[in-house]
Amino acid sequence: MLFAEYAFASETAAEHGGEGLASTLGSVYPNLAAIWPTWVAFIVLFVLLYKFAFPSIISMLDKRSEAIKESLTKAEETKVEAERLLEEYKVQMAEARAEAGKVIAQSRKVSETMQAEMKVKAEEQAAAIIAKAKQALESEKKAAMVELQGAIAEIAVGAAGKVIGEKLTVEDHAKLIDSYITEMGSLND
Amino acid sequence: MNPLDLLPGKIEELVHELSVLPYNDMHATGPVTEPFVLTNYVVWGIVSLVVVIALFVAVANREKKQMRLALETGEATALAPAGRLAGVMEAGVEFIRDMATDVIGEKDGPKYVPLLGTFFFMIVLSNFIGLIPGGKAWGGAFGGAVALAGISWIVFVFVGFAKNGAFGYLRSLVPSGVREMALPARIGLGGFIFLLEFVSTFLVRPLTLSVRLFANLYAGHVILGVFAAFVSLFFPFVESQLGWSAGGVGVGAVSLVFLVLMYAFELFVAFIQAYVFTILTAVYIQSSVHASEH
Repeated sequence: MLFAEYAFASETAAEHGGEGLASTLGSVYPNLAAIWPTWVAFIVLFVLLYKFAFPSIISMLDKRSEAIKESLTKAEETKVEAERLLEEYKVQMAEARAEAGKVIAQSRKVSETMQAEMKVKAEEQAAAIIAKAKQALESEKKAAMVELQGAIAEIAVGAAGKVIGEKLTVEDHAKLIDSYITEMGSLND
Repeated sequence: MNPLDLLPGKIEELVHELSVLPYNDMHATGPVTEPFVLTNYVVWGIVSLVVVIALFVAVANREKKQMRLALETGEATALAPAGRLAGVMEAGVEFIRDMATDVIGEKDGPKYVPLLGTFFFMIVLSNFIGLIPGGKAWGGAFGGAVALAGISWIVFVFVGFAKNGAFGYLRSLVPSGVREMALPARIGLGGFIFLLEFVSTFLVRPLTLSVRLFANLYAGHVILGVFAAFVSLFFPFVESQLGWSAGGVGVGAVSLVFLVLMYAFELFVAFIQAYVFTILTAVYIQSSVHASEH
């Protein structure tokens, strides 16, 4: 390979007597025809990247990282807020539950006392009704007794008059009735 | 006929093909020496330049549109990466920006992003295009590599003088420790170090930059060419005048495998060389920017 290269180099050197350096150096010769176009290309690309491409790409990168940072911060804040709310709701829930328990207990108590009161009242009322009924019965009985006494006296007087066949005076009647009544009363007692 | 007899001719052809020739006369006898000849390297360079410009114009236009949309509607989703191409280009720009800020510094770095980006994208795209069979890269011609290294040199020397003044910049070539020594040591050792540093900064840096880029690309192309030559020599259906032989086909098959592997490796080299060139330029700029600090 080296030989081939050497042979090639010496061959071209022979052809271009005046360009000895280029031919001897071969591939390592810095051709001007390669240098200045590289510079032109570099400058063109540099101007384009500097003026146009890099500013918009870099500003995009910066803006994006800013936006990501912002949304991460926001997300963190939201998370903290959500946790706080959850905690709050939990506390409220527990409070509400306790409150409900209290209300239920209270209403149970109220209903129990009401029940007891109603029972007492009902009993009282029943007792009153019974007492009244008893009273009424008693007075009815008395009235009936008085009526019965009257009827018995009349029957007795009639019967007695027929039996003894004599008319008694009004005084005698009264005396007789009284004694009879007294007798009946004592019998009744 | 022994296929190896044809090898020197193939190599000669390969080396000839890799030299700087007029674009329309691949059979020219020697490399171009006149300055105003459109060469094969420049034609391929223009192709790669058009590709880079097209990529950046497409992406930047899209970004601009998206940005306007985001600003008008206030929708942050418009700021999302607009497709794969934009994603790749953005990653490239971000890569260069990170390099600039990491190497040159948070304060001065961002200023040099377009410059470093131009180096990187121009070199990397043309390196890839140079790997297309028959394609050429800017840095594949020594002149192109010298031109790029020259720009790097002009920039870091200019920055060095502009930031530190002529005296300050030259003085910074001698380490501060030596500058504080006794007078004889300062003159003796300082003078020696100054000479060394002067040569290394102003002469060796551009030379290594250009030779590194050129030699890597050139060697890569030669290796690919040699394996390709082996394949064409040992597979007789490519070179019909050669006869079949089992050993020959074996060598051809192995060469084909190596050719593919080397191709993959050269893709890697194409990227690495662009990266190395760019980061070294960044390092040189950094040393110029902060010259008076050490």
